Amino acid sequence: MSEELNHIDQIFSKALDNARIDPPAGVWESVSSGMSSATAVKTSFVWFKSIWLWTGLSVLSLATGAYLYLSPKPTATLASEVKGGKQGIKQSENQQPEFYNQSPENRQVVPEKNSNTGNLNIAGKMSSLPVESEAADYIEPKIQHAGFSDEKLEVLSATKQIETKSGVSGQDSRQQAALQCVHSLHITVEALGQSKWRFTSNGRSESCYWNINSSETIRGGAQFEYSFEGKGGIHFVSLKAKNLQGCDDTARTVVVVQSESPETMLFIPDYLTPNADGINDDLKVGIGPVGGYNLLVFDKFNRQVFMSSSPETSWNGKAGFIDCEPGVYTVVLSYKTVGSANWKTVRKSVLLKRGEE
Amino acid sequence: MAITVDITEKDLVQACLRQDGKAQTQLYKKYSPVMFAICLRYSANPDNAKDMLQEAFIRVFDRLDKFRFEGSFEGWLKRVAVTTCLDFNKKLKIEPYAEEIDNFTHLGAEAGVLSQMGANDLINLLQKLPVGYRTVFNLFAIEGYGHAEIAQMLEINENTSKTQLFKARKMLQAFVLNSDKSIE
Repeated sequence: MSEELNHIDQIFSKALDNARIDPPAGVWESVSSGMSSATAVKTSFVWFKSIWLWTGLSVLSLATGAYLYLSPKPTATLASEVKGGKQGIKQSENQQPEFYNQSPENRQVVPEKNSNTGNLNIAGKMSSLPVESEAADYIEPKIQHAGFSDEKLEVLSATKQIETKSGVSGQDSRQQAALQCVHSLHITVEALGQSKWRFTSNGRSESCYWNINSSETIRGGAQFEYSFEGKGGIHFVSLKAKNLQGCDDTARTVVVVQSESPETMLFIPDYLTPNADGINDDLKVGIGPVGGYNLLVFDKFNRQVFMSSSPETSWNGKAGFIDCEPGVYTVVLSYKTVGSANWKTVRKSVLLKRGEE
Repeated sequence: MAITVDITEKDLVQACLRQDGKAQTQLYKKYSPVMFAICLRYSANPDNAKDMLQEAFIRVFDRLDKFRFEGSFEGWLKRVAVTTCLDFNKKLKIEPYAEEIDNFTHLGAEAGVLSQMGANDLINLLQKLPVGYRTVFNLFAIEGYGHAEIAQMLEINENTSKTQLFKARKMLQAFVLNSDKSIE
Protein backbone atom coordinates (compact mmCIF):
# COMPACT_ATOMS: atom_id res chain seq x y z
CA MET A 1 0.00 0.00 0.00
CA SER A 2 2.65 2.50 1.01
CA GLU A 3 4.78 1.42 -1.93
CA GLU A 4 1.85 2.11 -4.11
CA LEU A 5 1.58 5.60 -2.73
CA ASN A 6 5.25 6.20 -3.35
CA HIS A 7 4.83 5.22 -6.93
CA ILE A 8 1.79 7.26 -7.75
CA ASP A 9 3.56 8.70 -10.77
CA GLN A 10 4.33 5.30 -12.23
CA ILE A 11 0.84 3.97 -11.62
CA PHE A 12 -0.72 6.88 -13.41
CA SER A 13 1.73 6.87 -16.28
CA LYS A 14 1.44 3.12 -16.78
CA ALA A 15 -2.32 3.25 -16.83
CA LEU A 16 -2.76 6.47 -18.74
CA ASP A 17 0.23 6.96 -21.02
CA ASN A 18 -1.28 5.06 -23.89
CA ALA A 19 -4.82 5.01 -22.67
CA ARG A 20 -7.50 4.92 -25.30
CA ILE A 21 -10.93 6.18 -24.49
CA ASP A 22 -13.53 6.47 -27.17
CA PRO A 23 -14.78 10.01 -27.43
CA PRO A 24 -18.51 10.67 -27.39
CA ALA A 25 -20.28 10.84 -30.70
CA GLY A 26 -20.73 14.15 -32.40
CA VAL A 27 -17.19 15.45 -31.92
CA TRP A 28 -16.16 14.49 -35.43
CA GLU A 29 -19.14 16.28 -36.90
CA SER A 30 -18.23 19.49 -35.16
CA VAL A 31 -14.56 19.01 -36.05
CA SER A 32 -15.26 18.61 -39.73
CA SER A 33 -17.69 21.53 -39.79
CA GLY A 34 -15.24 23.64 -37.81
CA MET A 35 -12.48 22.58 -40.18
CA SER A 36 -14.31 23.67 -43.31
CA SER A 37 -15.09 27.05 -41.80
CA ALA A 38 -11.51 27.31 -40.60
CA THR A 39 -10.12 26.65 -44.08
CA ALA A 40 -12.57 29.17 -45.53
CA VAL A 41 -11.38 31.72 -43.03
CA LYS A 42 -7.81 30.84 -43.82
CA THR A 43 -8.16 31.42 -47.55
CA SER A 44 -10.14 34.59 -47.08
CA PHE A 45 -7.52 35.73 -44.62
CA VAL A 46 -4.81 35.31 -47.23
CA TRP A 47 -6.90 37.31 -49.67
CA PHE A 48 -7.47 39.95 -47.02
CA LYS A 49 -3.80 40.00 -46.24
CA SER A 50 -2.90 41.03 -49.79
CA ILE A 51 -5.68 43.59 -49.82
CA TRP A 52 -4.38 45.07 -46.59
CA LEU A 53 -0.86 45.09 -47.92
CA TRP A 54 -1.89 47.11 -50.94
CA THR A 55 -4.13 49.43 -48.94
CA GLY A 56 -1.35 49.98 -46.46
CA LEU A 57 1.14 50.77 -49.18
CA SER A 58 -1.14 53.18 -50.96
CA VAL A 59 -2.10 54.92 -47.72
CA LEU A 60 1.56 55.17 -46.83
CA SER A 61 2.50 56.73 -50.15
CA LEU A 62 -0.47 59.11 -49.99
CA ALA A 63 0.48 60.09 -46.48
CA THR A 64 4.08 60.73 -47.49
CA GLY A 65 2.86 62.90 -50.32
CA ALA A 66 0.56 64.81 -47.99
CA TYR A 67 3.36 65.21 -45.51
CA LEU A 68 5.67 66.62 -48.12
CA TYR A 69 2.97 68.90 -49.41
CA LEU A 70 2.19 70.29 -45.95
CA SER A 71 5.74 70.41 -44.65
CA PRO A 72 6.95 73.98 -44.02
CA LYS A 73 9.12 74.06 -47.15
CA PRO A 74 7.19 76.15 -49.63
CA THR A 75 10.12 76.19 -52.07
CA ALA A 76 10.16 72.40 -52.49
CA THR A 77 9.34 71.66 -56.10
CA LEU A 78 7.60 68.57 -57.42
CA ALA A 79 10.80 67.29 -59.01
CA SER A 80 12.74 67.32 -55.77
CA GLU A 81 9.96 65.69 -53.85
CA VAL A 82 11.60 62.28 -53.67
CA LYS A 83 14.80 63.65 -52.24
CA GLY A 84 12.87 66.05 -50.07
CA GLY A 85 10.84 63.15 -48.73
CA LYS A 86 13.91 61.42 -47.40
CA GLN A 87 15.19 64.62 -45.92
CA GLY A 88 11.82 65.37 -44.43
CA ILE A 89 11.69 62.08 -42.61
CA LYS A 90 15.20 62.53 -41.32
CA GLN A 91 14.36 65.98 -40.12
CA SER A 92 11.31 64.78 -38.32
CA GLU A 93 13.51 62.32 -36.51
CA ASN A 94 15.88 65.00 -35.39
CA GLN A 95 13.76 68.09 -34.98
CA GLN A 96 10.88 67.58 -32.68
CA PRO A 97 9.42 71.10 -32.85
CA GLU A 98 8.93 70.82 -36.59
CA PHE A 99 7.27 67.50 -36.08
CA TYR A 100 4.86 68.96 -33.60
CA ASN A 101 3.94 71.68 -36.05
CA GLN A 102 2.51 69.15 -38.48
CA SER A 103 -1.18 68.69 -38.89
CA PRO A 104 -2.60 65.78 -36.86
CA GLU A 105 -3.02 63.51 -39.90
CA ASN A 106 0.68 63.65 -40.61
CA ARG A 107 1.60 63.20 -37.03
CA GLN A 108 -0.20 59.90 -36.99
CA VAL A 109 1.62 58.63 -40.02
CA VAL A 110 5.14 59.78 -39.32
CA PRO A 111 5.54 58.16 -35.91
CA GLU A 112 4.70 54.80 -37.48
CA LYS A 113 7.65 55.21 -39.78
CA ASN A 114 9.88 56.14 -36.90
CA SER A 115 8.63 53.41 -34.66
CA ASN A 116 12.21 52.55 -33.84
CA THR A 117 12.98 55.93 -32.36
CA GLY A 118 11.56 55.93 -28.87
CA ASN A 119 10.59 59.52 -28.15
CA LEU A 120 8.73 60.24 -31.30
CA ASN A 121 6.83 57.01 -31.12
CA ILE A 122 5.57 57.80 -27.68
CA ALA A 123 4.69 61.32 -28.74
CA GLY A 124 2.75 59.91 -31.66
CA LYS A 125 0.83 57.56 -29.47
CA MET A 126 0.03 60.33 -27.06
CA SER A 127 -1.20 62.67 -29.72
CA SER A 128 -3.35 59.99 -31.25
CA LEU A 129 -4.73 58.56 -28.03
CA PRO A 130 -8.29 59.77 -28.34
CA VAL A 131 -8.64 58.89 -32.01
CA GLU A 132 -6.93 55.64 -32.89
CA SER A 133 -7.99 52.15 -32.03
CA GLU A 134 -4.53 51.72 -30.59
CA ALA A 135 -5.77 53.89 -27.80
CA ALA A 136 -8.26 51.23 -26.78
CA ASP A 137 -5.46 48.72 -26.31
CA TYR A 138 -3.68 51.30 -24.28
CA ILE A 139 -6.52 52.05 -21.93
CA GLU A 140 -7.99 48.61 -21.53
CA PRO A 141 -5.61 47.24 -18.89
CA LYS A 142 -6.16 50.32 -16.82
CA ILE A 143 -9.88 49.73 -16.88
CA GLN A 144 -9.37 46.15 -15.81
CA HIS A 145 -7.17 47.34 -13.03
CA ALA A 146 -9.74 49.84 -11.97
CA GLY A 147 -12.29 47.05 -11.89
CA PHE A 148 -10.11 45.02 -9.59
CA SER A 149 -9.53 47.92 -7.26
CA ASP A 150 -13.25 48.65 -7.27
CA GLU A 151 -13.93 45.16 -6.08
CA LYS A 152 -11.36 45.59 -3.38
CA LEU A 153 -12.89 48.89 -2.42
CA GLU A 154 -16.27 47.29 -2.17
CA VAL A 155 -14.90 44.66 0.17
CA LEU A 156 -13.15 47.33 2.18
CA SER A 157 -16.24 49.46 2.46
CA ALA A 158 -18.22 46.40 3.50
CA THR A 159 -15.84 45.67 6.35
CA LYS A 160 -15.84 49.33 7.26
CA GLN A 161 -19.61 49.29 7.49
CA ILE A 162 -19.44 46.42 9.89
CA GLU A 163 -16.84 48.26 11.91
CA THR A 164 -18.85 51.45 12.02
CA LYS A 165 -21.94 49.51 12.98
CA SER A 166 -20.22 48.10 16.02
CA GLY A 167 -18.70 51.52 16.63
CA VAL A 168 -22.14 53.12 16.61
CA SER A 169 -23.47 50.71 19.16
CA GLY A 170 -20.49 51.44 21.39
CA GLN A 171 -21.01 55.14 20.94
CA ASP A 172 -24.67 54.80 21.82
CA SER A 173 -23.95 53.33 25.22
CA ARG A 174 -21.30 55.94 25.82
CA GLN A 175 -23.64 58.71 24.80
CA GLN A 176 -26.29 57.39 27.13
CA ALA A 177 -23.79 57.45 29.98
CA ALA A 178 -22.72 60.93 29.01
CA LEU A 179 -26.30 62.11 29.39
CA GLN A 180 -26.13 61.28 33.05
CA CYS A 181 -22.51 62.25 33.73
CA VAL A 182 -20.99 65.64 33.19
CA HIS A 183 -17.28 65.43 32.54
CA SER A 184 -15.63 68.40 34.07
CA LEU A 185 -12.66 66.97 35.94
CA HIS A 186 -9.42 68.81 35.57
CA ILE A 187 -6.14 69.24 37.41
CA THR A 188 -4.53 72.45 38.61
CA VAL A 189 -0.74 72.35 38.83
CA GLU A 190 1.34 74.32 41.31
CA ALA A 191 5.11 74.29 41.63
CA LEU A 192 6.30 74.01 45.21
CA GLY A 193 10.02 73.99 44.57
CA GLN A 194 12.70 72.91 42.14
CA SER A 195 11.19 69.49 41.63
CA LYS A 196 8.17 69.30 43.89
CA TRP A 197 4.70 69.86 42.52
CA ARG A 198 1.19 70.03 43.89
CA PHE A 199 -1.74 68.76 41.86
CA THR A 200 -5.28 69.74 42.81
CA SER A 201 -8.42 68.15 41.44
CA ASN A 202 -11.56 70.21 41.09
CA GLY A 203 -13.66 67.31 42.24
CA ARG A 204 -14.55 66.66 45.84
CA SER A 205 -14.24 62.93 45.71
CA GLU A 206 -12.35 61.11 48.39
CA SER A 207 -11.04 58.35 46.13
CA CYS A 208 -8.69 59.84 43.54
CA TYR A 209 -6.22 57.65 41.70
CA TRP A 210 -3.16 59.60 40.63
CA ASN A 211 -0.99 58.07 37.97
CA ILE A 212 2.51 59.23 37.09
CA ASN A 213 3.90 58.36 33.65
CA SER A 214 1.46 55.42 33.28
CA SER A 215 3.56 53.43 35.70
CA GLU A 216 3.03 54.51 39.30
CA THR A 217 -0.51 54.80 40.69
CA ILE A 218 -1.13 56.44 44.05
CA ARG A 219 -4.48 56.61 45.80
CA GLY A 220 -5.00 59.98 47.40
CA GLY A 221 -7.37 62.84 47.97
CA ALA A 222 -8.31 65.80 45.85
CA GLN A 223 -4.95 67.32 46.58
CA PHE A 224 -1.78 65.47 45.74
CA GLU A 225 1.88 66.35 46.08
CA TYR A 226 4.67 64.65 44.30
CA SER A 227 8.42 65.18 44.14
CA PHE A 228 10.31 64.51 40.95
CA GLU A 229 13.66 64.73 42.72
CA GLY A 230 16.41 63.62 40.36
CA LYS A 231 13.92 62.87 37.58
CA GLY A 232 14.32 65.76 35.22
CA GLY A 233 12.35 65.81 32.02
CA ILE A 234 8.72 65.54 30.96
CA HIS A 235 6.22 63.81 33.18
CA PHE A 236 2.62 62.87 32.51
CA VAL A 237 0.27 62.94 35.45
CA SER A 238 -3.27 61.59 35.11
CA LEU A 239 -6.14 61.42 37.55
CA LYS A 240 -9.02 59.00 37.69
CA ALA A 241 -11.83 59.88 40.04
CA LYS A 242 -15.51 59.25 40.73
CA ASN A 243 -17.88 62.16 41.16
CA LEU A 244 -20.89 62.31 43.47
CA GLN A 245 -23.19 60.75 40.86
CA GLY A 246 -20.81 57.81 40.64
CA CYS A 247 -19.50 58.72 37.19
CA ASP A 248 -15.93 57.91 36.29
CA ASP A 249 -13.85 60.71 34.90
CA THR A 250 -10.22 61.20 33.98
CA ALA A 251 -7.98 64.24 33.64
CA ARG A 252 -4.44 64.57 32.47
CA THR A 253 -1.65 67.08 32.78
CA VAL A 254 2.01 67.47 31.89
CA VAL A 255 4.83 68.87 33.97
CA VAL A 256 8.35 69.64 32.82
CA VAL A 257 10.93 69.22 35.52
CA GLN A 258 14.24 71.02 35.24
CA SER A 259 17.01 68.62 35.90
CA GLU A 260 20.35 68.80 37.64
CA SER A 261 21.93 66.75 34.86
CA PRO A 262 22.12 68.65 31.56
CA GLU A 263 21.73 65.60 29.29
CA THR A 264 18.06 65.17 30.28
CA MET A 265 17.25 68.23 28.22
CA LEU A 266 19.98 67.76 25.65
CA PHE A 267 18.87 68.29 22.09
CA ILE A 268 20.93 68.99 18.99
CA PRO A 269 18.88 69.58 15.83
CA ASP A 270 19.50 67.48 12.71
CA TYR A 271 19.82 70.40 10.33
CA LEU A 272 19.74 74.17 9.98
CA THR A 273 18.51 76.36 7.13
CA PRO A 274 20.05 79.82 7.47
CA ASN A 275 17.76 81.86 5.18
CA ALA A 276 16.41 84.36 7.74
CA ASP A 277 12.86 83.01 7.64
CA GLY A 278 12.84 82.44 11.37
CA ILE A 279 12.64 78.64 11.07
CA ASN A 280 15.76 76.65 11.93
CA ASP A 281 17.92 79.60 11.00
CA ASP A 282 20.55 78.63 13.50
CA LEU A 283 21.61 75.56 15.41
CA LYS A 284 19.97 75.97 18.81
CA VAL A 285 21.28 73.37 21.19
CA GLY A 286 18.88 72.54 23.98
CA ILE A 287 20.55 71.63 27.24
CA GLY A 288 19.82 71.76 30.97
CA PRO A 289 21.79 73.85 33.47
CA VAL A 290 25.50 73.39 32.87
CA GLY A 291 28.65 74.23 34.78
CA GLY A 292 30.65 74.42 31.58
CA TYR A 293 29.78 74.46 27.87
CA ASN A 294 31.80 74.30 24.70
CA LEU A 295 30.40 73.91 21.23
CA LEU A 296 32.66 73.34 18.24
CA VAL A 297 31.55 72.94 14.63
CA PHE A 298 33.82 71.37 12.01
CA ASP A 299 33.37 71.11 8.25
CA LYS A 300 33.96 67.98 6.23
CA PHE A 301 37.69 68.79 5.92
CA ASN A 302 37.85 68.90 9.71
CA ARG A 303 38.38 72.65 9.79
CA GLN A 304 36.78 74.43 12.72
CA VAL A 305 34.14 76.90 11.54
CA PHE A 306 32.47 77.88 14.79
CA MET A 307 33.04 77.92 18.52
CA SER A 308 30.81 78.91 21.40
CA SER A 309 31.09 78.67 25.16
CA SER A 310 27.53 79.57 26.05
CA PRO A 311 24.27 77.71 25.26
CA GLU A 312 22.75 81.07 24.30
CA THR A 313 25.16 81.57 21.42
CA SER A 314 24.12 79.34 18.55
CA TRP A 315 25.70 78.67 15.16
CA ASN A 316 24.10 80.57 12.29
CA GLY A 317 25.78 78.69 9.46
CA LYS A 318 28.64 81.17 9.05
CA ALA A 319 32.37 80.83 9.46
CA GLY A 320 33.16 84.28 10.74
CA PHE A 321 31.39 86.53 8.22
CA ILE A 322 31.37 84.04 5.37
CA ASP A 323 28.41 81.76 4.64
CA CYS A 324 29.37 78.11 4.88
CA GLU A 325 28.72 75.78 1.98
CA PRO A 326 25.68 73.55 2.35
CA GLY A 327 26.62 70.06 3.48
CA VAL A 328 27.34 67.96 6.50
CA TYR A 329 29.06 69.49 9.53
CA THR A 330 30.20 67.80 12.69
CA VAL A 331 29.11 69.28 15.99
CA VAL A 332 31.22 68.48 19.04
CA LEU A 333 29.60 69.52 22.29
CA SER A 334 31.43 69.40 25.60
CA TYR A 335 29.65 70.21 28.85
CA LYS A 336 29.85 69.55 32.54
CA THR A 337 27.23 69.34 35.25
CA VAL A 338 27.04 72.14 37.79
CA GLY A 339 29.55 71.52 40.56
CA SER A 340 31.26 68.71 38.69
CA ALA A 341 34.73 68.70 37.17
CA ASN A 342 34.08 65.97 34.59
CA TRP A 343 33.56 67.08 31.03
CA LYS A 344 31.32 65.02 28.80
CA THR A 345 31.44 65.11 25.02
CA VAL A 346 28.71 64.51 22.45
CA ARG A 347 29.32 64.35 18.68
CA LYS A 348 26.69 64.70 16.02
CA SER A 349 26.49 65.33 12.29
CA VAL A 350 24.19 68.15 11.26
CA LEU A 351 23.12 69.14 7.79
CA LEU A 352 23.43 72.71 6.58
CA LYS A 353 20.79 73.36 3.93
CA ARG A 354 20.53 76.36 1.70
CA GLY A 355 17.83 77.30 -0.74
CA GLU A 356 15.24 75.40 1.27
CA GLU A 357 12.79 76.26 3.97
CA MET B 1 -14.09 1.45 -48.30
CA ALA B 2 -11.13 2.44 -50.35
CA ILE B 3 -8.83 2.99 -47.42
CA THR B 4 -8.00 -0.14 -45.50
CA VAL B 5 -6.74 -0.47 -41.94
CA ASP B 6 -3.31 -1.41 -43.21
CA ILE B 7 -2.72 1.94 -44.81
CA THR B 8 0.49 3.55 -43.61
CA GLU B 9 0.62 6.68 -41.51
CA LYS B 10 2.39 8.61 -44.24
CA ASP B 11 -0.23 7.76 -46.85
CA LEU B 12 -2.98 8.66 -44.46
CA VAL B 13 -1.44 12.05 -43.64
CA GLN B 14 -0.82 12.79 -47.29
CA ALA B 15 -4.39 11.88 -48.15
CA CYS B 16 -5.57 14.19 -45.42
CA LEU B 17 -3.39 16.95 -46.84
CA ARG B 18 -5.18 16.47 -50.16
CA GLN B 19 -8.41 17.24 -48.22
CA ASP B 20 -9.58 13.66 -48.72
CA GLY B 21 -12.68 13.49 -46.51
CA LYS B 22 -12.51 9.75 -46.04
CA ALA B 23 -8.88 9.89 -44.99
CA GLN B 24 -9.67 12.62 -42.48
CA THR B 25 -12.43 10.54 -40.94
CA GLN B 26 -10.05 7.59 -40.84
CA LEU B 27 -7.40 9.64 -39.09
CA TYR B 28 -9.93 10.85 -36.57
CA LYS B 29 -11.18 7.33 -35.91
CA LYS B 30 -7.67 5.99 -35.48
CA TYR B 31 -6.31 8.62 -33.13
CA SER B 32 -9.31 10.14 -31.36
CA PRO B 33 -9.31 7.59 -28.47
CA VAL B 34 -5.69 8.43 -27.64
CA MET B 35 -6.33 12.12 -27.96
CA PHE B 36 -9.51 11.93 -25.92
CA ALA B 37 -7.68 10.14 -23.10
CA ILE B 38 -5.21 13.03 -23.01
CA CYS B 39 -7.97 15.63 -23.05
CA LEU B 40 -9.74 13.84 -20.20
CA ARG B 41 -6.57 13.93 -18.14
CA TYR B 42 -6.20 17.68 -18.55
CA SER B 43 -9.83 18.61 -18.14
CA ALA B 44 -12.02 19.08 -15.13
CA ASN B 45 -14.96 17.21 -16.64
CA PRO B 46 -15.87 15.20 -19.76
CA ASP B 47 -17.65 18.17 -21.31
CA ASN B 48 -14.48 20.24 -21.29
CA ALA B 49 -12.57 17.22 -22.59
CA LYS B 50 -14.95 17.03 -25.53
CA ASP B 51 -14.36 20.68 -26.38
CA MET B 52 -10.62 20.18 -26.03
CA LEU B 53 -10.70 17.20 -28.37
CA GLN B 54 -12.59 19.18 -30.95
CA GLU B 55 -10.15 22.07 -30.78
CA ALA B 56 -7.22 19.67 -30.85
CA PHE B 57 -8.40 17.99 -34.07
CA ILE B 58 -9.15 21.30 -35.73
CA ARG B 59 -5.61 22.30 -34.88
CA VAL B 60 -4.23 18.98 -36.11
CA PHE B 61 -5.84 19.33 -39.54
CA ASP B 62 -4.88 22.98 -39.64
CA ARG B 63 -1.21 22.27 -39.06
CA LEU B 64 -0.91 18.90 -40.72
CA ASP B 65 1.26 20.42 -43.46
CA LYS B 66 3.83 21.32 -40.78
CA PHE B 67 4.38 17.66 -39.88
CA ARG B 68 7.69 16.67 -41.50
CA PHE B 69 7.42 12.85 -41.11
CA GLU B 70 10.54 12.97 -38.97
CA GLY B 71 9.28 11.73 -35.62
CA SER B 72 6.33 9.58 -34.69
CA PHE B 73 3.04 10.92 -35.96
CA GLU B 74 1.27 9.83 -32.80
CA GLY B 75 3.82 11.69 -30.69
CA TRP B 76 3.19 14.82 -32.75
CA LEU B 77 -0.55 14.40 -32.34
CA LYS B 78 -0.14 14.00 -28.60
CA ARG B 79 1.93 17.14 -28.36
CA VAL B 80 -0.70 19.06 -30.26
CA ALA B 81 -3.35 17.69 -27.91
CA VAL B 82 -1.38 18.68 -24.83
CA THR B 83 -0.75 22.21 -26.10
CA THR B 84 -4.41 22.59 -26.99
CA CYS B 85 -5.41 21.44 -23.51
CA LEU B 86 -3.01 23.91 -21.89
CA ASP B 87 -4.36 26.73 -24.04
CA PHE B 88 -7.91 25.68 -23.28
CA ASN B 89 -7.32 25.75 -19.54
CA LYS B 90 -5.65 29.12 -19.89
CA LYS B 91 -8.74 30.44 -21.65
CA LEU B 92 -11.01 29.18 -18.88
CA LYS B 93 -9.79 32.17 -16.86
CA ILE B 94 -9.17 30.21 -13.71
CA GLU B 95 -6.18 31.27 -11.67
CA PRO B 96 -4.58 27.86 -11.80
CA TYR B 97 -1.41 28.34 -9.85
CA ALA B 98 -2.76 29.96 -6.74
CA GLU B 99 -2.31 28.07 -3.51
CA GLU B 100 -5.47 26.11 -3.44
CA ILE B 101 -7.23 24.08 -0.81
CA ASP B 102 -4.98 22.86 1.94
CA ASN B 103 -7.59 20.74 3.56
CA PHE B 104 -8.86 18.42 0.92
CA THR B 105 -9.94 15.40 2.93
CA HIS B 106 -13.53 15.86 1.87
CA LEU B 107 -12.66 15.37 -1.78
CA GLY B 108 -11.91 11.64 -1.81
CA ALA B 109 -14.10 8.81 -0.63
CA GLU B 110 -14.43 6.60 -3.66
CA ALA B 111 -12.48 4.18 -5.82
CA GLY B 112 -10.40 1.29 -4.54
CA VAL B 113 -6.69 0.77 -4.28
CA LEU B 114 -4.80 2.57 -7.02
CA SER B 115 -3.29 -0.38 -8.86
CA GLN B 116 -6.63 -2.06 -9.11
CA MET B 117 -8.13 1.05 -10.63
CA GLY B 118 -8.79 1.32 -14.31
CA ALA B 119 -7.86 4.25 -16.50
CA ASN B 120 -11.33 5.71 -16.09
CA ASP B 121 -11.11 5.72 -12.32
CA LEU B 122 -7.66 7.26 -12.37
CA ILE B 123 -8.91 9.94 -14.72
CA ASN B 124 -11.79 10.61 -12.36
CA LEU B 125 -9.26 11.17 -9.60
CA LEU B 126 -7.19 13.47 -11.79
CA GLN B 127 -10.23 15.50 -12.72
CA LYS B 128 -10.85 16.19 -9.06
CA LEU B 129 -7.48 17.92 -8.71
CA PRO B 130 -7.30 21.70 -9.02
CA VAL B 131 -6.35 22.62 -12.56
CA GLY B 132 -2.80 23.69 -11.65
CA TYR B 133 -2.01 20.46 -9.80
CA ARG B 134 -3.57 18.42 -12.57
CA THR B 135 -1.65 20.12 -15.33
CA VAL B 136 1.74 19.85 -13.65
CA PHE B 137 1.15 16.26 -12.58
CA ASN B 138 0.12 15.27 -16.11
CA LEU B 139 3.09 16.99 -17.70
CA PHE B 140 5.59 15.57 -15.23
CA ALA B 141 4.33 12.08 -14.44
CA ILE B 142 2.71 11.05 -17.71
CA GLU B 143 4.18 13.24 -20.45
CA GLY B 144 7.57 13.07 -18.78
CA TYR B 145 8.63 16.70 -18.96
CA GLY B 146 11.15 18.17 -16.51
CA HIS B 147 10.33 20.97 -14.14
CA ALA B 148 12.30 23.47 -16.19
CA GLU B 149 10.33 22.62 -19.32
CA ILE B 150 7.04 22.72 -17.45
CA ALA B 151 7.91 26.08 -15.98
CA GLN B 152 8.59 27.39 -19.47
CA MET B 153 5.43 25.91 -20.97
CA LEU B 154 3.14 27.22 -18.28
CA GLU B 155 5.04 30.47 -17.77
CA ILE B 156 5.45 29.78 -14.10
CA ASN B 157 8.33 29.52 -11.68
CA GLU B 158 10.25 26.24 -11.59
CA ASN B 159 9.67 26.03 -7.86
CA THR B 160 5.97 26.55 -8.37
CA SER B 161 6.00 23.56 -10.67
CA LYS B 162 7.71 21.45 -8.01
CA THR B 163 5.30 22.57 -5.33
CA GLN B 164 2.30 21.89 -7.52
CA LEU B 165 3.56 18.40 -8.32
CA PHE B 166 4.17 17.67 -4.66
CA LYS B 167 0.74 18.88 -3.71
CA ALA B 168 -0.88 16.93 -6.52
CA ARG B 169 0.74 13.70 -5.31
CA LYS B 170 -0.25 14.46 -1.76
CA MET B 171 -3.81 15.07 -2.79
CA LEU B 172 -3.99 11.87 -4.82
CA GLN B 173 -2.64 10.02 -1.79
CA ALA B 174 -5.31 11.63 0.34
CA PHE B 175 -7.96 10.41 -2.08
CA VAL B 176 -6.70 6.86 -1.80
CA LEU B 177 -6.29 6.95 1.97
CA ASN B 178 -9.77 8.35 2.32
CA SER B 179 -11.22 5.69 0.11
CA ASP B 180 -9.48 3.07 2.30
CA LYS B 181 -11.13 4.53 5.35
CA SER B 182 -14.49 4.48 3.69
CA ILE B 183 -13.98 0.82 2.81
CA GLU B 184 -13.13 -0.06 6.38
